Amino acid sequence: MKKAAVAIPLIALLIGALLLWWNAAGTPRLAKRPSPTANGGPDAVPGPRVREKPPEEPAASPPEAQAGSLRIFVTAAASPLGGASVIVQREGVDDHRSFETPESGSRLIQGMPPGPYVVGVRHPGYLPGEARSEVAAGGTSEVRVELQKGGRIHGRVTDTGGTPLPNASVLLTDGKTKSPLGPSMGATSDARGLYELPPVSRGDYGLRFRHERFKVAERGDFTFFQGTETYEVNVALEVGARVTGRVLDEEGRPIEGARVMIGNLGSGGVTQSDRNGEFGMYGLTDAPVNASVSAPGHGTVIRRGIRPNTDGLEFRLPRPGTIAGRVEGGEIPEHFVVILSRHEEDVKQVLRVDTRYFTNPPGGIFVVPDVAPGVYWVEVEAQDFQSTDRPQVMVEAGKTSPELRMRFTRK
Amino acid sequence: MASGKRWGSVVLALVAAGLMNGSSCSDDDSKSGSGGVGGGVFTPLQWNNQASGPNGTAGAGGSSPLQWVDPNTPVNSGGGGVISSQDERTWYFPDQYLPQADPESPHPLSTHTASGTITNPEDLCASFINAYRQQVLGVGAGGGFLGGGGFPIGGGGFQNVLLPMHLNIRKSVRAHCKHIAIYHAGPLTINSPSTDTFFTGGVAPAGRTAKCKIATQGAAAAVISGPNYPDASSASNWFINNGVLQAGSQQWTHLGVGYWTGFSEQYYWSCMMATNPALVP
Repeated sequence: MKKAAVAIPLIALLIGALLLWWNAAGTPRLAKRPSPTANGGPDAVPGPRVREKPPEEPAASPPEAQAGSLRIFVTAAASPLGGASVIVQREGVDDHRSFETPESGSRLIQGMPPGPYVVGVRHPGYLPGEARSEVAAGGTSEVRVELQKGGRIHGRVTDTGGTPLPNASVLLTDGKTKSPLGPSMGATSDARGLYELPPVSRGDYGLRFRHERFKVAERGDFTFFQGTETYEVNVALEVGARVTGRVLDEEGRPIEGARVMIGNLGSGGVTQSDRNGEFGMYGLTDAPVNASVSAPGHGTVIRRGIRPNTDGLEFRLPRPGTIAGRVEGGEIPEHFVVILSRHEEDVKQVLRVDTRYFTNPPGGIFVVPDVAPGVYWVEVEAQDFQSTDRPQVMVEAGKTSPELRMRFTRK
Repeated sequence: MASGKRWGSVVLALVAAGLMNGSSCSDDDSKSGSGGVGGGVFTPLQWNNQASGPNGTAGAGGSSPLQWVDPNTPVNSGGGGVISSQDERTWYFPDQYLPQADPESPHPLSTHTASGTITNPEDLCASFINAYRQQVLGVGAGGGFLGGGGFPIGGGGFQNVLLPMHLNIRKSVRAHCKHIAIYHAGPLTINSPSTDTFFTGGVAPAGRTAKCKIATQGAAAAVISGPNYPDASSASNWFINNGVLQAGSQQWTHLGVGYWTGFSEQYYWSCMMATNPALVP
């Protein structure tokens, strides 16, 4: 009995110690399913798929025997080119590597999974270049990218008095649509107002000059026949009108980060309120502007016909309500838009005031939050479908409307 | 006997502690040291095929070989997981528009996805663009439609202010984002590096939208990419503030916003406005 009294606790102690060691040593356990938000945030519905490796599988790069190498040569006029930015992208896989070429213009990459790769090269003095290569297991492939000279657009941005304007944005635009070709085809003026765009390929282009305090200016008809022409474009920007003000909540507290849209057909844009709720929109033309101010957790406020150079505007965002509904029918559209309209007292008309897009909402249910209190007509539109339902709904602060049912039929 | 009881208590406590410890570990896979991809000794490793982010950027200079870093390792964790999508039309299939191209070319021209990771930002960006259009084209905006802008309920609305999204254009611009992300390296450009322009010119039939059998009476497109545009707000701000797509223009009847994420630029946005788009049989 005495022996048993000693032996049993000792055995139990041994078991306890074994359990502790078992956990500390990282004994494989059953894999837990990843949470829905693990691979893409809260909107991962139906979400990207994540495949799991068995826990005992090593997570290292592929074994040397299976890996390959790639030597990259970057040249211009057949000479090695240093200082070029290189991105090596494994085709079809989110797997890339970037580096800058040394003076030799050459770099070797080892340990690469076999497969097709694309090599993109950019250099401030040349047009972008690209080449493809196949990396074989255990082998070393080579790829050469020869960069070409492009056309040149440069100049100076000043105000109408000739003072240089730093930090003016200059964007290359499409010659036909006047649409900017993206930030990668733009430049910012320096302290002397000087700018130079990245090299330009053959084609017809325009330019768009923008500075937050000045009116936008556009210039056009720059044709590059050979792709090697040079244009010097100097621009004097005019000071624009302004609208400034504050965004507050119902209790008069400033709202930071409110989305403030102010504009008319010729000017305007989007800005955000600062920590004091203050905002300013500059570079406006002299025509009246409309303003729309919204913030998460608040109802949107719209003002129309504001005279330029108005200061001290105050936007008090009301406590919002929510409109909820469901689309019904034999077939639910993949994508639809919910349109809210209301009677606007200032213009004595019913106007569409908000649109929200929905794609594949589960069960066809839609929820429109942050709606300012009031009476709304609700419409739902979808490509190739029709709905005649246009219910009217009263939105009250802090409340969700009774569920609306919107019926669709295919056209 | 009392001593035996004490021993028993100590041992039982140790056993219980061991069991509790084991129990809590079995529910906790948060020991990953690198962004949820793995790395903790107990963490189930996840195959993560979206390795944007800290994917080995080497500095300038140096002639020593670079070592490729597999994005699926714990030290190189990245973005957001595989995005489930279906390329309904590619450079080759189902219409061979590029005879010189690889007959198995998978470069997408039209991409469908049900992934909210893609569709939610697209929807939100389109909402922001429309909100701006509503404002500048709505009643009271100078140079716009003073005194106009109202519409009778059920009467079709004020023309071309709030633009509906065209599904096929949306798939086309989304494919443009995915195409550049997956099969090219570097910033999104308006024209495809595969020698084709966005909606005019290019190889026959002209342009990318034509290859998707979308005919329009006019269109304009704009693109942005890079880490500065991680969400619909920043993307739509750039589109609006830079006069993209003549955002205030009333000639457009439809809108398409496409988005993709991951790869060398992390975020890709493409936006197109069109006049009376229609599918060609």
